[in-house]
Amino acid sequence: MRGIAMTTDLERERLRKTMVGVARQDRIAMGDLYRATSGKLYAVCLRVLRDEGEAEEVLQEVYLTVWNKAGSYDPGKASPIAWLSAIARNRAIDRLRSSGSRMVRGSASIDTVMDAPDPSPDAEAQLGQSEDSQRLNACLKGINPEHAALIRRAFFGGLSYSDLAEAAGKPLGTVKTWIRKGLMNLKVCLES
Amino acid sequence: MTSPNAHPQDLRAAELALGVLEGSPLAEARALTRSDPDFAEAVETWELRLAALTEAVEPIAPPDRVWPLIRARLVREAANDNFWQSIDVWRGLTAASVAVAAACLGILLAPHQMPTPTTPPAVVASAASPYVALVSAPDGGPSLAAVTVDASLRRIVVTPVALTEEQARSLELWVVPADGTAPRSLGLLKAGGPTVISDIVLPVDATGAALAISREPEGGSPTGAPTGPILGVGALTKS
Repeated sequence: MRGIAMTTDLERERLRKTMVGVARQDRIAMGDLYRATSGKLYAVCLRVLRDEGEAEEVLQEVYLTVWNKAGSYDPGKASPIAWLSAIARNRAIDRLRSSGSRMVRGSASIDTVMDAPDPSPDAEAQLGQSEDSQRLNACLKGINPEHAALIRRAFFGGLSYSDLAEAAGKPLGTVKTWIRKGLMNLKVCLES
Repeated sequence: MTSPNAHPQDLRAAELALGVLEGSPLAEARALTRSDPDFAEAVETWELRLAALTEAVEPIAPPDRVWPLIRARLVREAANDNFWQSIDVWRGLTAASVAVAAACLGILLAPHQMPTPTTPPAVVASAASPYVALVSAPDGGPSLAAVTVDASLRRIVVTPVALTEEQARSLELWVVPADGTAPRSLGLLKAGGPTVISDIVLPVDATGAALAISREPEGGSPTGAPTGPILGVGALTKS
């Protein structure tokens, strides 16, 4: 298990170097970055969009954005994969919101994959996770479980307040209150 | 002492980062990120905090077709940047170089005639060749090739000027329309000796258009747009 942690540390370090290459507009580094991260970013897009075609298009936009913005990546603020995932999620949510309403659901097979429970790292996987990730998960465990579940659900599915209310079968006001309380308690925990 | 309601702006930043906002609150929060750098930073802080959750997401391999599409778009962007920079430099060279071009063409195409410096185009003027161009390195460097277009605008002859056979390998000729639309390939140049390219399509009014030569992978640009370095550009002028 220690091996897992060491491997992922090495991977993060390698990814940081790759990002430096991409910032210098090195296309070979860009290829390396794509190989190392596209599976994760595609999964992030797919979870939000639930449509392979849309996710593929957004994935292209994500890497073009990364190519143009890699120079502004600050390793002091976040790991490369967190930075990349944030871009992917933003792009996917932009696409979702700009389509007006929630898109028609994708194929049944996607729904089966995507309706699986939101990822919650088990103890073993946690060993391979970054400090940031371990800290966030610990803080989410520390807040009201219903609030934490809603935050996870919003995060992984790209759901808006009204989507969440519908999905959870709760009044919109309740959902807003829970998310806001959850976020503020999360902040207190993360900043302590 | 941090009360949950002490920082309304930060809460809004967190909501935007989480992606739960919609409608006018979403539009307002987005506008705030543009007008208030502190708010934008708070949003980024939340985005990066929350993004740590994606470490637990199982990767799903995207279809193989996605990467070649991304790569082609990167190449196209980069090529267009290089290309238009080259064209801009070229536009700065103004009419003086056009006169020189015409004079050089005169020497090249009609070695038995001496070019007249005051009216160089007259030297190369001929019914069979309404347009000529001298393609030169954009930085004012050496001339690379002389180009003549036949009267029907369907056939073009490219004569290397200062290109060794090695340098002339894998070069592609492009026409850059004056209206700013994308460069179009006219074909690959032969290494060593003049190249005749038939059945070309030039803009109906070729005045103001430019010709350019780029180095491309063997067999020509894979994308239909220049991908390699632009070695030279030249104005297509009426002879």
